Amino acid sequence: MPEVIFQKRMTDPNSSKKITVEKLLQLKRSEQPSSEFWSRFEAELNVKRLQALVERPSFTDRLRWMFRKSLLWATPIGGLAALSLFFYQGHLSHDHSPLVGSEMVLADQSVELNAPKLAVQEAPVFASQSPALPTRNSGEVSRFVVDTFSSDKERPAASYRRVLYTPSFSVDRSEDSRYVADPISHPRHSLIQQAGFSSGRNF
Amino acid sequence: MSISQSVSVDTAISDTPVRTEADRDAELVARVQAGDVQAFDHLVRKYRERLFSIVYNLSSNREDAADITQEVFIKAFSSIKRFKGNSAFFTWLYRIGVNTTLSHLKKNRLRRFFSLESIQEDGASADVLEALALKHKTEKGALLSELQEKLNEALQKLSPKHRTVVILFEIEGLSHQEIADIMGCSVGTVRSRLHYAKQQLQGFLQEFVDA
Repeated sequence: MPEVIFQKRMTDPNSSKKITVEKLLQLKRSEQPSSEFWSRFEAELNVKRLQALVERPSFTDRLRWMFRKSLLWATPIGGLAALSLFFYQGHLSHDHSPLVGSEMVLADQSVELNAPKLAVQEAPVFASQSPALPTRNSGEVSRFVVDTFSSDKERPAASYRRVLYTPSFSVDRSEDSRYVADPISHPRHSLIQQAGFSSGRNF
Repeated sequence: MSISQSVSVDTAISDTPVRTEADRDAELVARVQAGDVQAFDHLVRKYRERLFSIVYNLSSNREDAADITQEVFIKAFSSIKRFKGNSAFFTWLYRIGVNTTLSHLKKNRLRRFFSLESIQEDGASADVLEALALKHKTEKGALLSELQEKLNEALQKLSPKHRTVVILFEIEGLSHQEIADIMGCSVGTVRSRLHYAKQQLQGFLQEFVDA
């Protein structure tokens, strides 16, 4: 079909004389500058190119460039910072919870309260529980008890965690008594730790 | 006439003229990238007329066009190390040219005026002018200046994207694919923009165009 049209155009004498938009636009091809224009153009271009080679970007240009670059990174970095802050705060709130390294121990649970003095003063909920701990003679090998973790007298609230109390570790000197933190509730506290009177971790 | 077509005239003996021309450009670019500043002058001389023509027809201002063309060459020279050769050199250069011109027009859209080159009467343009003079029964010189003004006005009425497509296709003679590469759009988009732009121009230039 296009070939037919083309042949028709070629044979039609009026088609070549017909003024079309295409023909008018092709007139623009004839709008060309003179040869003097090009010699001046070349000289100016050489000067500008030398300037571009010699000139360093100005302070404001560099500042603008840095700002533009920083904008590129601002969003992902800001997002990462927000995410890390979110997770870090979550971690902090977990570590500084009243029950360090353990789930909350309710008063009606069958666990024993350690350090009666502190408990009475600082945690009346737990104070109602009997502080009867297993002794070596009671036949019990070990039992989970609630241990006061913080002995800071300035602070009204103390921290508690559930620990595995083993009477055989207490021996005679309670200053050197040992306990094992509950490894199930928090793997970080699974090591055998020393406890002293001063920190209220004695049994 | 497209770039590839014009090249084939220069190197008619070669089997693959387009490739040879692209290779020549690539060789010159490689020399510039290696620090040979003189090689860039060859590229400037080769493409300055075409680049100037694109910029001039986009802006319809010869002084602005000269400045912008120089700016484009400086930009190309400064960033030639980043040119990887994924596209033809002229595509890359024309893309810089079109983008620089369009951003210049955007910045200076409030202060725009025509400053036109005079039309050199060669064979093709003389025929058209003859036919128009006969049709309008006016003197050729007066008709020429009126037509030139109307043509530039009509082009400036088009949106920048439509104007660019018309200029690259009808005036510069690039192919649809080459225009698509320069403008970063599909060939279909180029065709539809071209069709729409020609319809618009037909309306703007009604008094000169035969029905």
